[in-house]
Amino acid sequence: MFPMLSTIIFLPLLGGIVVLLLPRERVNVIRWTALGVAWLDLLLALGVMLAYAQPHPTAITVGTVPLVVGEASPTVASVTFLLQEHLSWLPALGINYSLGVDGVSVLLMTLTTLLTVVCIAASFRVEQKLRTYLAFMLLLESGLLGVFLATNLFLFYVFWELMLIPAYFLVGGWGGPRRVYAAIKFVLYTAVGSFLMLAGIIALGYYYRTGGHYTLDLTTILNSSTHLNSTVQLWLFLAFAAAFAVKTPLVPFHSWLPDAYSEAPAPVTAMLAGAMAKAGAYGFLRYCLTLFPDAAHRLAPLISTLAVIGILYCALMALVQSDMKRLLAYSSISHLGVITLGIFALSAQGMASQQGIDGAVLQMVNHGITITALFLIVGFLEARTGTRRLEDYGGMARRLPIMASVLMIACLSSLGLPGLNSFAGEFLALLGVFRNNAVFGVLGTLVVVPAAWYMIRLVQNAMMGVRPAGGPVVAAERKGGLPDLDIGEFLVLLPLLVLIFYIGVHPLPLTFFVEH
Amino acid sequence: MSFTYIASAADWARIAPELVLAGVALLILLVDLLLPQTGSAPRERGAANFFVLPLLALLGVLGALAATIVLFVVGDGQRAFFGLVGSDWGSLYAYLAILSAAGLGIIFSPAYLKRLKLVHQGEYYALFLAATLGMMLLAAATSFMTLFLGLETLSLALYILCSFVTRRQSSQEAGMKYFLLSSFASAFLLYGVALIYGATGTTRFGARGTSAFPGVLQFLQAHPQSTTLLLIGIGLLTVGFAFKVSAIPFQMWTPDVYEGAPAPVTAFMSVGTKAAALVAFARVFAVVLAPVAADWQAVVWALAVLTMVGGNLLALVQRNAKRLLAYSSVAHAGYLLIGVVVGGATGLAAILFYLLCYAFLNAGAFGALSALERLDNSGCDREDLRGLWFRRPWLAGFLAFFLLGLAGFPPMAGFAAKYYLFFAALQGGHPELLLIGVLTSVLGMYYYLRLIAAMFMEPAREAQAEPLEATPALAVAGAGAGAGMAPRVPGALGRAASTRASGASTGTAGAAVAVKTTAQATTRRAPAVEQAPETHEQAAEEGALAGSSLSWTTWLGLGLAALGALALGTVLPFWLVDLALKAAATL
Repeated sequence: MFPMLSTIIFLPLLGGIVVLLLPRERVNVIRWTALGVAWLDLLLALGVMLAYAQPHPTAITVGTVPLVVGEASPTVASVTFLLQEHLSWLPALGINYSLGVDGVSVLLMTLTTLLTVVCIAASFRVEQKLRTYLAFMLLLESGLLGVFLATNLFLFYVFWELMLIPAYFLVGGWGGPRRVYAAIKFVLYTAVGSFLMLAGIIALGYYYRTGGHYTLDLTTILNSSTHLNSTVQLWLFLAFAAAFAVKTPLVPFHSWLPDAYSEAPAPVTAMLAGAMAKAGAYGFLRYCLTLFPDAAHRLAPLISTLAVIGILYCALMALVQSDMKRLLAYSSISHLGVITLGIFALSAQGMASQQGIDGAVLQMVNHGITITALFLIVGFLEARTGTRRLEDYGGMARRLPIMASVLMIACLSSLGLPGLNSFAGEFLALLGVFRNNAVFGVLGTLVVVPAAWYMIRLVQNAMMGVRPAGGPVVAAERKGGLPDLDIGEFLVLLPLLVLIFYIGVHPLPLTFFVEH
Repeated sequence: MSFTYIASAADWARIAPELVLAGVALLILLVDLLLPQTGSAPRERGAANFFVLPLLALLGVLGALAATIVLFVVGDGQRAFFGLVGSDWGSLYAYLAILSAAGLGIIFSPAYLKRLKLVHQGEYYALFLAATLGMMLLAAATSFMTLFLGLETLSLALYILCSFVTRRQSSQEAGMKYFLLSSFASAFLLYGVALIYGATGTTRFGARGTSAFPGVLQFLQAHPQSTTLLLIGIGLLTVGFAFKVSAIPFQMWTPDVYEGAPAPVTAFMSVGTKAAALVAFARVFAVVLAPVAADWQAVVWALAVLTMVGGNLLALVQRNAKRLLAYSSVAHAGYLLIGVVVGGATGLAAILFYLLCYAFLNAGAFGALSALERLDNSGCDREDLRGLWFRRPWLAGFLAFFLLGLAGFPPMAGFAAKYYLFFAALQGGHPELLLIGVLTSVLGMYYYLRLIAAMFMEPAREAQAEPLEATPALAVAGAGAGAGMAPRVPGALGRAASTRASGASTGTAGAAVAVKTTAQATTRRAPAVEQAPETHEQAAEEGALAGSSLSWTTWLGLGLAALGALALGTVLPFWLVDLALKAAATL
């Protein structure tokens, strides 16, 4: 069988190497090669997605038997991995190269490939060290795809760390004035979590042994009759949660995020917020919930509390930011809180809420689309004026009508306007939470109020109101450097806009994937 | 009492790798005498020396490697010379790590020696191979006598190699310091050996599962109650070994020696010594002294924890890349000691696999630094490395690759090695070591990343632009000498001057200017003559350094090390870990 998933994962890596080897002067060749690779990967991912949506998925998995697993784990109805690939790597330690997709990962895989295309297209203005930049972008894509597609915990960890390297270089190499601080803070926060997860993974492999055989394969573990006692589960859950809580992030572990997001160049921020943050939520859903159901049940109130605190605290923080990117960064944490809440909407018996998970996954995709659009627009604005301070702007709508409209649409999507994409996801997630725990449901729903407030504030201060008498924006305008969105920039944003409307009207196909 | 032992041919075959190295080392000394003189340059500087000798040394290492592989396949794994030297898979596995490091060190050497105008290469490569031989003997020793023999062979050779840059004070200091402290530690070790001999009546280790050559192991199995004499002996032995593997609190020599020694030598010895000493440490403690494990385990546990925590903490505050790597190697010794504490097949296998991975990563990192080091041992500070990526992107990329590998990022070898070691800790019933190891690795991540940040994310300060920095300073030095002022210009003045002369666009042009000024200075005034040749040389060296094209040998070394590190982290662990497991059972 053709190793489809491996191709999807390693195509960007190879593309990155090719980009590095191109001659430095051929700037356009370099850009279009990178974009072409990203496009090709998107097409492959779409192909897998369509194949997955066929009524009889077995038809496409020639040579493998789709495994229905998860009978042993009561929290998730069934996890079916398709298109499985399996290669022995270090069988003595239960380490294998195994990949597979299920409904959740197929969505996140496609989202990642889409966002990479958008973000690489948005990076056409990058000039400094272009080849390395694009290579790192593609490597980041590879890492992310691997995280979503790996079904062996060791392999998952390898990709999890692998995506950290390009992210570190991208934030630190092409970022703003405080980039070194932001990059190191970002990596250290993530590393503490990751290393704890590593300890957890080692321990997990150790506990899931039969005879002298260790295993780290997700399918084997979920099918295994070994049941970890609740103390072990608790510690392992915490070790895994440390990594995911930093990446998502949950509130006390979030302080790297505003720095990293605001210092990184806009397309990189879009990648981090749009795709990488989802890796944390995905980890909660895929690993914490299924591997440690008892501990998840016990700790769900704690995680939910942290999520609610994050939702409200970061919404308030977003209200008072003057830096547009920091505003969006805090809004991002706040929205990811809703996702986490949906994932951990466990019933009193410890059963996961299907609506909560549907909503959470839907919201992962939606948030990825919306936040990417927002960060890119802010990036376009900053490229024109050199400032991100909200006070420097005002009354831009008359000068930049298209950009103002696009920003308006993205903001409305972000605050959850019915008819646009985020509404369906947030509604479903919160509904699931509400059904199982009314208090968290009510508290989580409160996000709508400040979200509307800070997003409207962003649009109003930047695009409406009185134009400032002086400052960098006016200076840029005098120099004629304040054109509206050009056709290239519009084309970059177009797929995101289309999806914002399409998913808003017709979210059913996405929930189909989650439930099947 | 008379004793006769007739060495058979099989005995010699079992130490074939060592024999190859010894033979080639002698051959190098001979060839060095016969190499032709080129032009008016002294014979030691002839072009042939920079080619023939390293090639010969490399062939020696490759030959030893081939012999090792042959022994893996067809060797009987028995002990040679009445149980004095092992040829078991465990020793052979250690040979792989040691020989990899030696090979890489030799590949990095010619470019370095040429740039620094170091002569006496015959001695250099012969000593290099002698040190390798000593390390292999140490790793394979199955008797305290051979152990000491190997230790001294490697140490004596390394003392000289460390102080090989005769015109650099820190190099002299490194050799002297290493000599004094190492002899001191050897004395401890020897005293420990003597006491253990007193307690057990034998210096031979004895093999597991066979009574062919009974030794300390068999004695201890028969008398598991340890006597005071034995305890003191073990204590002294611990001190000696802890010094050799640079475990805290016996690490003091490490940073100074690693920093002062020539970078290719450091690349080699930081890995080779560690590998040999650790395998010996593991063999003596986790195998031979295993019956009395309760007596020493707590001490080694404390050493491991102290070394992991302390090594990483001390590395945090280093500003010089070589010192930083030295402390990081201390920290890595701490991780490795986990394997000794845990013992058993998994613990020992973890040590063996880790050493092999570490060989490529650490040798690669020091090899990259060897392309930056100047004669006065500058060039490796974090300030000097700032913005390296913009000046020499590939070199910076390689260095970053190795540093990330040392930090434990997948897919490089460091991660696989660490994973296996921590797994061994858990399996051996030491979850606390797993947790401490994991948390100290986070500390490690910080300093590696900080160094990478300096190379990739911080622009070089204007006056610091490397190719220009030293050359105008030398021009001033020359002019200063010409005016009869201070013959040696402090660095600060030189740096100030470099901004003035920053018009020179390329390093070579700058060097040319410097040479010209120096020449004028010498013609103008006689007293400057003494100073001039050296400045002239330095200027040429700087010119060579500034030229962004590295010697192809350095590229080869970096490429091989990177390839090895990558392969060990991705494809090869598949069977190397299995092999290590099998090898560990034979230690």
